[in-house]
Amino acid sequence: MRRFNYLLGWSERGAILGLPALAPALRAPLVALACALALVGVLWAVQQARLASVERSGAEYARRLTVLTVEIARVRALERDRARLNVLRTRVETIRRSGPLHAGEIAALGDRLPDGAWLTSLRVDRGSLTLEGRGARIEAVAGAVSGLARLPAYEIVRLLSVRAESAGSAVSYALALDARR
Amino acid sequence: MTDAKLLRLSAVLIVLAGYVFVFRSGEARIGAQAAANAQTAQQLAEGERAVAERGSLERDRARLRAGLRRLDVVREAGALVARYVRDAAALAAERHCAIVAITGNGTQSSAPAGPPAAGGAFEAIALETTVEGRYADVLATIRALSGSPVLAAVDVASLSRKNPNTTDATVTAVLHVALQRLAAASAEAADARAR
Repeated sequence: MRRFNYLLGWSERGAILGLPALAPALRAPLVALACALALVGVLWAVQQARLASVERSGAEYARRLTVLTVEIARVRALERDRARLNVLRTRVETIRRSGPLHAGEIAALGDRLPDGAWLTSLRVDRGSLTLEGRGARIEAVAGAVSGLARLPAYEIVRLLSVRAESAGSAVSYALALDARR
Repeated sequence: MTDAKLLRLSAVLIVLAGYVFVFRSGEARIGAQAAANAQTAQQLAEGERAVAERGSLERDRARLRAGLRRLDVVREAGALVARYVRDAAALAAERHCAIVAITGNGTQSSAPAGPPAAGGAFEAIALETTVEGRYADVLATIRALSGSPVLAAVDVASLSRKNPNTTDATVTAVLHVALQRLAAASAEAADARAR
């Protein structure tokens, strides 16, 4: 009786399954190539994830900014309105100060006159002030000129006239004060 | 070149290409996006700060508006002049002075001070007011006129003794008074904004 062995021998099995018989010298370079491909793949995945993350953040910021834009426009309108009202308030304060300012200027003029000199009239014309008055003596007029010259609001004091009154030793005088520019 | 060397070279080239095309270009895109994000975040922070100040802005505006409302600046011109005449007479009488004349020169102009676009909305009604009284009382009246509820800019045109040749100490002051009123368009705009 003849016997047949249908099982293949171990050397024949390897050939049929097709496992390549790699040369030992190629194994290490192939592993390195595979690692390089894997490294690039992982790097790409990481970069994609990071990019997606920052893009999501950007989209969120943009969405919040869009929502806020309406509110910001309202606030800007409020700021403009407040600035306008502040200008009005400043103007109102300037107007409110106008009376005390002019009264103070006139009072300061009177304070600078020496004893024996007094004002009879005062006229304002485009920043220039014309004063008329009387003095007991002509020396009082000199005192008036030097006193008024020390007023900070006026630059020049011009003597327009000094005349002796017809009766007695009194004098009348006229001065012009030019406002400081 | 042997197969092994070729494989090693390929591995090195793949790593280099990965660095250049994946890492570097990815970093550039991520950097650009991050910079854009930072800019948007800054705008957002500034906007949020501005919005956070809204409460104080509204309080400021309400305070300023209330201050303006206390002034008589939104009346019709005739009513404003009538109110000024009454107030001036009362103020002068309280200070022992008399208003001997008020004349209108018919001019009505926009107030010169203040930038027009930012709120130079006042119109001025020019009047010449003559006040008589003792020197100190006249000065007190001049001070008081610009502080009355009717907003009026006061300027002194002249001041003189009524009777210079006598001992009478009465002085006469001629004042240029500019009554201020809000222009109709500005008042309407302010009302619209308030609504």
